[in-house]
Amino acid sequence: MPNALIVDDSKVMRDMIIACLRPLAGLSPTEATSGLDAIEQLSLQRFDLLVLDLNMPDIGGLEVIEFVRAQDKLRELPILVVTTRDDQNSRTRILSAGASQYLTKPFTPAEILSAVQGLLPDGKATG
Amino acid sequence: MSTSIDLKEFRGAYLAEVGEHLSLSNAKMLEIEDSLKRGQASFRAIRELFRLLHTIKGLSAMVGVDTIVTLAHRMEAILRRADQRTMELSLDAVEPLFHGLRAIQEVVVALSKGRPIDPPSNVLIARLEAVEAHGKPASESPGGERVLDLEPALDAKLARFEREQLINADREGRRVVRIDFVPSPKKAELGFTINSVRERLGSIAEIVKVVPVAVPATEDAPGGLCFVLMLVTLAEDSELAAAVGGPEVQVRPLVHAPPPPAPDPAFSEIPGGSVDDDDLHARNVLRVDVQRVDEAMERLAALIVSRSRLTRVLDDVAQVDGALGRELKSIVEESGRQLRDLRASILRIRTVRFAEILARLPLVVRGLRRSSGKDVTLATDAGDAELDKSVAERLFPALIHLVRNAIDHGIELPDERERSGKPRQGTLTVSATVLANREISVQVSDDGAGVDREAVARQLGGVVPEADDGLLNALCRAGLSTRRVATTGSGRGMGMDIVKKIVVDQLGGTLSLANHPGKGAIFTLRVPLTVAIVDAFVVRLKEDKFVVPVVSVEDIVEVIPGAAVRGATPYGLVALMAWRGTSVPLVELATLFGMTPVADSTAVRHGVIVRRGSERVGFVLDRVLSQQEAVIRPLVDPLVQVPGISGSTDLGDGKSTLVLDLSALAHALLTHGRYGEPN
Repeated sequence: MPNALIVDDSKVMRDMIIACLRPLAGLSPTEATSGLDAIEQLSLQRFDLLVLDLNMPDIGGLEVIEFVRAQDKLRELPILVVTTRDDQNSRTRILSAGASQYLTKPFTPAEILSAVQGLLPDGKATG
Repeated sequence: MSTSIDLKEFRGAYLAEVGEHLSLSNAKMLEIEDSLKRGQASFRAIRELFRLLHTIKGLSAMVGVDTIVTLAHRMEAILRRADQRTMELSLDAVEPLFHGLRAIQEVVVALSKGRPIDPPSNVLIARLEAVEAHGKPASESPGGERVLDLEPALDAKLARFEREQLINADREGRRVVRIDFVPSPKKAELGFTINSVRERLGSIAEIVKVVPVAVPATEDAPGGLCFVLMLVTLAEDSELAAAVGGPEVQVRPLVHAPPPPAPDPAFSEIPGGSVDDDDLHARNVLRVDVQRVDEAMERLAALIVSRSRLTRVLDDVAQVDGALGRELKSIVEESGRQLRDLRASILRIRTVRFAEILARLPLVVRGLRRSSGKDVTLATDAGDAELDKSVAERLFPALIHLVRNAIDHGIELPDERERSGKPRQGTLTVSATVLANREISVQVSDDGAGVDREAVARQLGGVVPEADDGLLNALCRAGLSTRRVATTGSGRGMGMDIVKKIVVDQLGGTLSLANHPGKGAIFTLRVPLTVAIVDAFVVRLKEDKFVVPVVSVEDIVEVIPGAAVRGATPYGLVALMAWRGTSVPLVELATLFGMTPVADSTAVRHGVIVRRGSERVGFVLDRVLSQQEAVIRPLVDPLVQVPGISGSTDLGDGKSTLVLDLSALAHALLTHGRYGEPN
């Protein structure tokens, strides 16, 4: 069963994302409430997907991505960034930092669902 | 695969969270304004406010509240400019930003009340757009001779303001230290994760920056990860080490006094602020809809009612079978204690810290300062006081009235204060303490001119009593509040009738005044911490039972036939009895309710003495039967509101029993001489 780490300091946002992903019966979500919390959990446990907010109180999502990509064992981890920033500059920066995909808030449940399905290794989760 | 998730379902939680972000945002704005006035930089507050608005914007976009998205976006743009150019905001930007926050607040209120939302005001948007983030260049880095003892990779992670914060703290004599925390599953089991470590450290130190560093994976560091925490603190090493998980933790100084000149890394463009104390409060906190707690309370209320029934039936059983009855009785008594504990636990869920309520006052005071032209500083002290959320929410408007009065009418203009030898800046203090009888006492005091007795008398067109409680009564007369003369000589009448209504009538509390002409005034209000379930006397009047909340009763006396002195009183009452050195007018409750009083004039009956302000009334009824807990259901239907009846309760016999509000009855009698006479 694939594990996804959902990182957002907003509880409502995490709840919304998890609700959106519920149709993926095979996916088990874990929550992290800050960038540092996410990095800690990633170091101690295996995840198949990272859903990441950029705007957080301790270290921002971009720093999380940079940190993750510098680790050998996390180099291949799919990262889906969900953000309110939608200018070209941010988009470039997010993708060049190493995010796999990029979703702008507001997104619909169907959008995040198909993004996550596309990022998970084949056959790991079924709708 | 079908998805039928409607994100609008999250609106309730959304509103609560945005509400929290807004109050933090207001606090940050006040901080920013304060720094600007003192000519200091406030990068951190600006970044935090930016982050909060960004979160609000994202959430609002998800649930489709476009008005807030637009507002937050505009405000964010102002802050981003201020941040990216490393320039300060100008003071001109402060007011529009406050307006923006207020406008967002208004949308939140409208949404929570189910009202339609308007698009943002064009005027406000235009103002926000017009705000130029022109300012002065940021102050030169005072780095100078002090240098951070950090590996270059770590050093590069620090933003300029973070570096300044560390170096300034060292210069001011606080300890600037570094702690490395290596997470592991074992530590997590013991409760040491980065979140909990930050929370614990956050209470004894200011966490300036946390940087994750990859380290070779070892037995001690199975995750190959280490967090470097940079702190400013006054705490001892041992205290800091304990917060991070043990004595083997190293605490190292971070600042080295002398040479070589510090490299000046570029100001980080990515907002990557640091841990905020306010955020930490939110961790480990469960956000629950009050309705759910109320539901639990309702269930408990039903349980209490069942228990009352059980007790009643048990009395009959006990008469039939002594031993069994006694055993049952002790079990039921035990269950009574358990119910009380359960009730206390549920009530504790509903409690809020009074400090949280008071945190809304600075914004109010700020507005009043501007509108009145007075210089006022606000000091609040709520200690650890906690009270029921519903009480707190009801109480808040009363507090606002008192604060407003103190600034509008109490505290003098700066020049005037100077003339009377006072500091130009007035002081307004709001403090709270929890009393032993489960009441909270809240004091609003100022060092202004005090209440102008003569002005109050002039306005009322009569004489105002010498004593402070007489003056307070005069202030609380409804008529006074309608005269909206907001001059310093106009007395302090504004809204006092509302304050009294909230404190005395709604919450069953008391209001008092200590007036010191020329020196200031202290208003004290005392209300119960909770209102849902009260201790009550069950009383009998003819064939009917009624319930009287214990808190409203000052004494219960025996009324012996013939002991009362008959005579005329200013209230048109007929009997007086001696009580603690004074005489108290007695009123037949039965007569008030249109019943015929008891025929047997030789029977010893009970009187319940109720205090209203400085005056007392004794209500004569047949018997006070018992004291027990009663779940009060307030009468909310405006059609069935009767003065003197505040609600109903079920005592366990399945019947509705009326709850008497003897305080209101006393008020009606003392004011109009006769119950029920219209105003």
